[in-house]
Amino acid sequence: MAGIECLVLGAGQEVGKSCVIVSFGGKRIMFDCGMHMGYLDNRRYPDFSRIPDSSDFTKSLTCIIVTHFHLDHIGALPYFTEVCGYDGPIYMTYPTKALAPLMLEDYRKVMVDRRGEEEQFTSEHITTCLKKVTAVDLKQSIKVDDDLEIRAYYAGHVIGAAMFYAKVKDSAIVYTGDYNMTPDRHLGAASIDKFLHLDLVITESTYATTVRDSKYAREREFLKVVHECVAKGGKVLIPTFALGRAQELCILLDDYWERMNLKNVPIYFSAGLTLQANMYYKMLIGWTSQKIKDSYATRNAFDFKHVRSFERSMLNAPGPCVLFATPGMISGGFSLEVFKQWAPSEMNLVTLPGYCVAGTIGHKLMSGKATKIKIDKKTEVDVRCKIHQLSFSPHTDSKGIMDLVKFLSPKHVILVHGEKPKMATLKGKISSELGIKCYDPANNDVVHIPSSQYVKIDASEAFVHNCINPNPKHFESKADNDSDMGAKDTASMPVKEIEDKRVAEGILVMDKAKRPKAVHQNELLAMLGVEEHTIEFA
Amino acid sequence: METERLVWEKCDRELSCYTNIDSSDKTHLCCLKALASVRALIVNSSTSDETISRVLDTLVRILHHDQENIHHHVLKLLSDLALHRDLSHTTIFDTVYAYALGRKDASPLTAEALAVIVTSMERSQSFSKLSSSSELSENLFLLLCSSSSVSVRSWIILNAKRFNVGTCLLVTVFLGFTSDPYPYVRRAALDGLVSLKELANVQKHDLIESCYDRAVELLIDTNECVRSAATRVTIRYDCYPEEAADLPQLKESKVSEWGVVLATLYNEVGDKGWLDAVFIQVCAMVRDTSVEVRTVAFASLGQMKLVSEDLLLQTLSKKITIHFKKRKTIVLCTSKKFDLPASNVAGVFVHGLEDEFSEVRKSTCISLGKLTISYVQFAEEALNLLMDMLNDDITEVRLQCLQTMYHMATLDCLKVQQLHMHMFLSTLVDSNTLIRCATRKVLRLMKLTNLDMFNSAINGLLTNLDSYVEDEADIFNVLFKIGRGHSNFAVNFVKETFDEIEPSCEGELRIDKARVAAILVLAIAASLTHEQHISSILRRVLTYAIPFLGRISYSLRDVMSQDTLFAYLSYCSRFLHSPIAEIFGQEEHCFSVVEDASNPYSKEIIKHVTPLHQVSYGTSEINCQDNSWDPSHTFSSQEYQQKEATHAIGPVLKIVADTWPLIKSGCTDEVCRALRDCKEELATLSVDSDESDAGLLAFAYQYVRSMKLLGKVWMHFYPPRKFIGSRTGLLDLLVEKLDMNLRRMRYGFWGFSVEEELHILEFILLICVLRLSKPDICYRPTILKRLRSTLSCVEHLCQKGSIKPSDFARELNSFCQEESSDDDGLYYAFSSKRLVELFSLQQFVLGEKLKHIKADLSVPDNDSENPLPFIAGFPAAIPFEIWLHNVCSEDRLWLKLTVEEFTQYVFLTFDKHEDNDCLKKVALNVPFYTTPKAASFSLRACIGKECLFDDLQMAKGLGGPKHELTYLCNEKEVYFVTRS
Ligand SMILES: [Zn+2]
Repeated sequence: MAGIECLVLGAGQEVGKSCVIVSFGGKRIMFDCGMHMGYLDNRRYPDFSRIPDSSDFTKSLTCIIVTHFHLDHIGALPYFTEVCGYDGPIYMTYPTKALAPLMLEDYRKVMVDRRGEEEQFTSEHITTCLKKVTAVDLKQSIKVDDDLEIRAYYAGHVIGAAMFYAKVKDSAIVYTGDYNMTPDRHLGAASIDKFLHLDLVITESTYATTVRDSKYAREREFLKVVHECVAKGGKVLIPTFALGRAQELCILLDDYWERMNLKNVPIYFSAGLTLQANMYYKMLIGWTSQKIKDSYATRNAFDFKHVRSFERSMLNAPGPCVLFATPGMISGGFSLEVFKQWAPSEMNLVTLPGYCVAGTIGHKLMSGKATKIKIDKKTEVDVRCKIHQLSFSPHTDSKGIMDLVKFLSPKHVILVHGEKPKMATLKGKISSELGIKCYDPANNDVVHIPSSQYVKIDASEAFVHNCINPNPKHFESKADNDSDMGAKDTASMPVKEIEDKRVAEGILVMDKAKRPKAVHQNELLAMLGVEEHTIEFA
Repeated sequence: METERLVWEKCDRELSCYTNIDSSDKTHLCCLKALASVRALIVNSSTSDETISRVLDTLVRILHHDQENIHHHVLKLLSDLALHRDLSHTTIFDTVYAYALGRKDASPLTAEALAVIVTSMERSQSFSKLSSSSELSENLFLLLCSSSSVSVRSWIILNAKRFNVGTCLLVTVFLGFTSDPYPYVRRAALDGLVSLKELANVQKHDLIESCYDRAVELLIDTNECVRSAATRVTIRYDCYPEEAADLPQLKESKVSEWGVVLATLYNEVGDKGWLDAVFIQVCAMVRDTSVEVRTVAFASLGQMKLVSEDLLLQTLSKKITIHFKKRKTIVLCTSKKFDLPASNVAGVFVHGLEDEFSEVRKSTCISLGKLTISYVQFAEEALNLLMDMLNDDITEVRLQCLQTMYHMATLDCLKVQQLHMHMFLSTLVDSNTLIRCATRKVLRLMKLTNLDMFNSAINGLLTNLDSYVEDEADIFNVLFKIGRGHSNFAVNFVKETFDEIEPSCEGELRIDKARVAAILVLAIAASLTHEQHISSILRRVLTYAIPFLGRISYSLRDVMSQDTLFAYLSYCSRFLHSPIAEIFGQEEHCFSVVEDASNPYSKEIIKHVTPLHQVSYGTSEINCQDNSWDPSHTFSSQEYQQKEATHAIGPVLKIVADTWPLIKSGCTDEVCRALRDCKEELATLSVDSDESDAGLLAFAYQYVRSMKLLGKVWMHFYPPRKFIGSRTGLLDLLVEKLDMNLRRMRYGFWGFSVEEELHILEFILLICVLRLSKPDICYRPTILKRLRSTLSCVEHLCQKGSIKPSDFARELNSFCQEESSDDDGLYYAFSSKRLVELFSLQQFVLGEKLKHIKADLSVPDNDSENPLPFIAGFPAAIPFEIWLHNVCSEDRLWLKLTVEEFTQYVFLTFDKHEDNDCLKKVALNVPFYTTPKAASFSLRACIGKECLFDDLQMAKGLGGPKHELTYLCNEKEVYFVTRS
């Protein structure tokens, strides 16, 4: 089978259930195995039956690679391994492997325990599934088998997120997963090697048309509203997801608290998942940003100086404070409980994440100035507090995508994980500005692209020697004295100029075994077994 | 001594055994051991010279044998010898040199041998030897260049300059090495190219261009150290305009000024295309994966101050502006091979500031600061980004950011807006002392454009004071500076916070409060600016400042002494009896208590002052019961004041002298700024100066003015930018002004020392010389005449003070004597340039005896409302009242009366026997002869002193002065109306 075949099972012209099957050089790799959070029916999982030889996934797929622990990239994995029966190798980074169970278990609980849905996979499934995972380090080349080599690169986005490079024989591809080209307070920017000679890059395109300017404006706004609120004695509620954003904001605040000497205003973390996550972050310090790694020797940045854990009894204690609570969209749980208590006071502040699902309190707050919010039939909350919407995002913007594509200069680009019309715009931009062929397939589409093939040649020792050393012959002296001039004007010294025309030059020949070989020009005659003839003019 | 001999003998035996008899593996080991012992002998400073010379002999002998496997060690030892021992450099040099020549190959041993030679020469400092030995030149150099050993190739590049090799050859060889397969060789070659300063003189554009092209190629090298070196080289050459080689300045320019000169030349050529292309090229590097490359790239961007503004603006936003999209096609004119999408520049600095690595962010901050000088709009937008950097989590970056802002402020391009204030002032409560200090440094220079900004700045500082008591002195100082710069806002602020300062109803003065002191400092600052009309509220507030005298004066010690401050405060308090109701109207009752001289609060203030007073003057006999201060003390502090003014002028004159090199290098803006500061400083001094040092101050003031004019004049002669040159009309005016000023300095004062007078005369000479080079601003014979007469004054003074004339004066003298007869403009231009080079401005050291010759002129009861009567066509009498200060009997004074075009001079005679009095009052009825035929007119009158040494003849009809006048007073306008 020549060329590269991409079957997009998920995240084709949409965001959710990322899953791409790439077949090349006789290998078949599944990149990500995510679920769609927006659906509860069978659309929530990728349509695995489309995988060739779907009767035996273990045989059909060479391996599965998961880029990071977000559910839209890993959510379907236990289902696929434990229910669908895939039993082959699975690769992900150490942090992803460590944090994935937290995510999956949390999701399972919400689905089954709270909403009473039918169970897709059990806790045991999660455990056994993750036992099959091989954890990898960054930039570590892994031989999946004799032909397939994979390597992870730092992607930013969330802790442990990676881009994956895969190479079979002469063809090489990169699957980016989600990534961020701008570093934030706790994660670095995505970073990958330059000279990878890629046939294909499959990149996310969440912000296919947005160009975001300085991240500092966002930080400044956030710090300003929080500081102003606590300075006037108000309470700040930051509903957030447990992993990622919480740590980012917390580092930002902790640092600010330290600099501005705000010791007397406590920052709280609500109990549960978040603290556990902080513990993981502390262990995974090597995957964070440069600054955090640098300062690690003196202090672990996730040992927040000003952060304490929150007791329910403190809910109505007087005085200013900042509280991080889950879940992020105030859809229930502890953040809703706190919201009910704090929202009625205009002194207080509630921040909202950049994106809230319709139907959640967060969404209602976002869409206009709601003064009264019905929480259930009995309760209605009078919202008088200030609302601040965060605009932090762990995804790269369109300039970042362009920069990465330009940097990698692959022969082809496939866009996934984005909105259809915006992807089309970006696709046009990539082909017109960078001159690279670009595709934006829908779910279940197949894209065929040609792959490279290199011919290996031998090189003779003389040729190699000639390439790596300066050859005196290349220094050609050009005495600058024109014969007429030189004779007359003895005072002018001849200026010696030298040209160094160093190039690797050789001759490509086929040797007796029909193997191509590069040789030095001096060797040619001997190789061909021909005598040298010289012609002299009388 | 004995052990030394034994050790040596053993070594010698083993070495000779190895070299002469048996060089097997076994003896090789012994030999190495022996060499190790030899090294110990060499580095041990107590080893006798005798042994050392034996060691040397043996080593030299070994080199002649062909056991090459130990030559490496021997050479090393010779190098040690050269380093540690003072003797025998010649032997080492000769031996090793012969050895190197004898080898005739390019092996590492040859290179090592050469390295030894270099070391030995460096020690004996006989560089000349090498360059004179022509054999150590091209051939050897080329031989080593083709070495197959990487280390030899790196060595030869690093030491290429020690060989007798032409620049052209070097460039080609380095260029060749930029394609070496080994990255470190490539890097060394690039660095070598950068350091080839002689390149400026190379006339070959193609050579420079190929350097550039190679560098650009290497920007995409696989090795990061090569890429970063390439980034540096790129920028170096890119400042190099093709036309530059034709311009004479370039060849003259000193190496250190190279970059600057090139950049300026660029602008002159008016072609920004090349520079823009380079800018875009470097922008492509800022997204490199290597931190080093990014750091260098950002640093390089900062060097390119002359890049087009639209490019710069685009670097501040990732979004490509519509305007910029249109541009895309225009840019790429110069570089042929490389594609340069202008979109490269989009948001470059945003990326830099967002970078994960603090060194990159820091580098970006620095570069942004450098570039803000170029364009106003860019400066404003860059500031928006910089402000956000104050939130950076790395202290170093925040600090750099503040330093950048400070830099911008000194260059007058820091336009802070209201919306920045919150972010900016938050750094005043930063837990890091350095950050707070840097912020205050910026605040000192910041222009606060409205009251809100001012108030928030002051409140920020007060918060700073609350949280960090240790910053008090610096905060007070900043408050003072801000107050002086924004006195109206300051007055406003003080009035609003008056309640806090005023002793509370419980009768306790809050002298413990730093906050109160801070506001008082603001009040003092404001009052100094409003000296003439200090409102009574300020006066009252100032009284409260006395208890804080120690604290406040400590923090203002760079501005005034405690005595001065005390004198000032007590001076202000004397006027306290004026009604304060004017300000407070109906609130009068609140304050009326205070007016009572015996009120308890005032007494309390006095009590607090007393101890301080004692410390200052060593007397306790102060009448504290009286509300007014003992006049004798006030007086004594005035004495202090005089001294201080004299002392304070010194540093100002020092700064003035320091501007001379700046003037020479054409940094007019910096000069103006520095001199403006000087003027302000002098203005501050004059606040509390009195008659006796008024002369000094007035002179200093004139001097500063003259320097400022000189700075402006200068750029017409030695322009950094060509286009100014054409505006000679302006130049004419400037030179006239400068001449007038210099005359005023020369004739408007008396009591100069010889040195002082010489200084002024040389200044005058300099202007003459400048004039000579431009025929359109001088009538040459006149100037030459003036030159000669001034020179003869100089000569006379030198003889009188037995001082050696300066080089400048001497050269000028001989120039005047040999001066060519033909009117060759070029000759003058050339000579004057040469002469100007000789001129150097020393710091003016003022004696204390200087008297300001000046006059006051008035016509009592005359103004536009009350004109004098006259009959048209008839003479009209004008009753002048004239005060003359420090005029001496030799001075020829004229009263100049001007009506429109017509001028009448009146010679002033007065009693010449009144000598010791420096102030004369003269009442004079002067007739003005030619009244115009009009219903009313006004006449301008002025008193001038004849400049006796000046050459100019005034051929005026009415028998006016024979020389140019220097004016001693401001023009006075006199009004007339026809008698009805
Ligand atoms: Zn994600």
